[in-house]
Amino acid sequence: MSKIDRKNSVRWVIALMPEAIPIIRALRLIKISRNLSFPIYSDEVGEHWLTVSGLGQNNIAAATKCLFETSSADKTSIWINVGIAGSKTFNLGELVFIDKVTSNISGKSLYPYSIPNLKIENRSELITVNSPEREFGSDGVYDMEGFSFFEVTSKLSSIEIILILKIVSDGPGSDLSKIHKDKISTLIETKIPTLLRLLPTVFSISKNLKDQILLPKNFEDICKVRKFTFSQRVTLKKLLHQWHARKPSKNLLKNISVLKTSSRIIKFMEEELNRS
Amino acid sequence: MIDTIYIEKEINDSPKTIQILRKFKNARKISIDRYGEIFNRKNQNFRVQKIKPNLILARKHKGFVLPTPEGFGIGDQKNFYFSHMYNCIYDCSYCFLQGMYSSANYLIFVNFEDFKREIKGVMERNLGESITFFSGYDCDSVAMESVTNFINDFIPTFRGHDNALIELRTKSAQTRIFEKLEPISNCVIAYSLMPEELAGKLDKKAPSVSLRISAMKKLSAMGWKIGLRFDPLIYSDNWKIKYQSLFKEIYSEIKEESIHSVSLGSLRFPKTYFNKIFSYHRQEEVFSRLDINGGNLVSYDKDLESEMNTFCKNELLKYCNENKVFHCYS
Ligand code: SF4
Repeated sequence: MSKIDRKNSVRWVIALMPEAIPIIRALRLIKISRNLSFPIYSDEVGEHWLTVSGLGQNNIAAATKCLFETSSADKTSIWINVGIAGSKTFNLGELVFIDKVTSNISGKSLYPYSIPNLKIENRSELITVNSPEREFGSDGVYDMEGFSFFEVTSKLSSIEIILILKIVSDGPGSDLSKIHKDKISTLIETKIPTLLRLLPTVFSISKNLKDQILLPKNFEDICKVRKFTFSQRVTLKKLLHQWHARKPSKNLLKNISVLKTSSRIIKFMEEELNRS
Repeated sequence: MIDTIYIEKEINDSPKTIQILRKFKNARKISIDRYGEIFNRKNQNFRVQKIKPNLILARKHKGFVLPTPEGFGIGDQKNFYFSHMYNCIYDCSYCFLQGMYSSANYLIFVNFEDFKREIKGVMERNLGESITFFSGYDCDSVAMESVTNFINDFIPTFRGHDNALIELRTKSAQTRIFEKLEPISNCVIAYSLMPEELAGKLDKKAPSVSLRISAMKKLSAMGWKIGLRFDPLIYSDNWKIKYQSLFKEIYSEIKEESIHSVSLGSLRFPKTYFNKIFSYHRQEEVFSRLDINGGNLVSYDKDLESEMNTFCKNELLKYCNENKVFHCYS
């Protein structure tokens, strides 16, 4: 597992190029020129990464793993699968948040987290099939990738930051594989503002996870130079959180470099924090 | 309000499921095979889910009534516990459920009849012995009553079985359910308490201590037995004064004869739970004085622990008999 990165980190996994194009444009992503099994795009600061997997469960599983490794994702990275889907329940163009995904082959179901306050009205089960669906026997939406995407990503990241979002492109009788690529891009393009509006909510969940994992700044440096007991390490972590929140401009390492023991460091920090 | 309810297919049509679902008409209902698919999965985060927990309705298959760990008891010969629910609507910083479960979703086992059958079985197998059944080990027994109807369902099981006591552990100030029932002498409504100033910081989303005391006063006046639970005892500046005045306030409001038992135990965690809980609450003052004691336990150092237990016990003995005071160490 790679080191946890403090900056926002989103990984988009998209099945088809026409679905990906509006997202690539909106986020100003650039193709990485490396010899990779799947095309991979990234923005300048390395916050948003995207791959185009091709249709089907095997492809999306392989592309997701490839993106994970190439982009040094960590367990606080947000994973999003956006794509078109068929449905007899929802109207053409509607965005649907997936909270249950069932494999048509195995009958197994997985349950993406129902992110609160996401402000998407439509929630549904997704049925992932291995060949284009024309009948849409069950309520909900149909695709060819969602199950594998969630199965793979839920081993890589915390499930609260894995999203499957589907935009309805066709209904009973039509053939998903025959939809014109411009129509696909338009369907996705229309929902880009909504997709971008969701991000702050998911960023805040990811930040919450990072805060739980990341040690406070300077913690390791300080523990390297002085020996702290278990109880003192607990106290030091707490004090460092308070210090960086309340005295971000004060150079802590310089101030404590003259202090010879762990107790003196803790005493100094407590006194300084009490003073402020 | 609950947004999403996961329901095991097996109990879809059970009367309790139907009764609970009636209260959440607008929630999205998702059918599942077994609750573990949601509740026990890896790579999920308790703290994130705690922001807005969902509800899971499931059937428990075994282990309805279990013996308590050693050191858990309020004077009876045998002690058991049962959990009709996991997790809690309150959000206490020190709550060990955060360390124990990976999900913060509320899990309700709807097959109350199986629990009651097993409770009766334990009573019958232990005739002539005094038994306490603890509820509220994995949840707050009273707080979700409006959803579960648990108390209403379980109290009749204990009526007339004087050798068996049920403890309902709570921080809820809700008294309505008890007002509707005829008090029984073998039920203890046990309130978790700490000085108001500490509760204000730590017992998030729970009623204030003064509201809990008002509830205790009301219920004791109606004839219900009250338990006082000072577990965990929490160290802070001037802790002696804070606990002294808490005890004084309680005993000035509630008659000693209404109090069934008092128990105390200082703050302590298994190490694995502590690491998880501390990662959720790194800025919390309450964890500062803790240390690893005896390998796997994180607690105050032995001297402080014993000072707190002894001081509080001696203070309590100013108001009540020694035979009512119990020390929890499990
Ligand atoms: S009331 Fe009890 S069960 Fe509920 S959060 Fe607080 S400590 Fe946990």
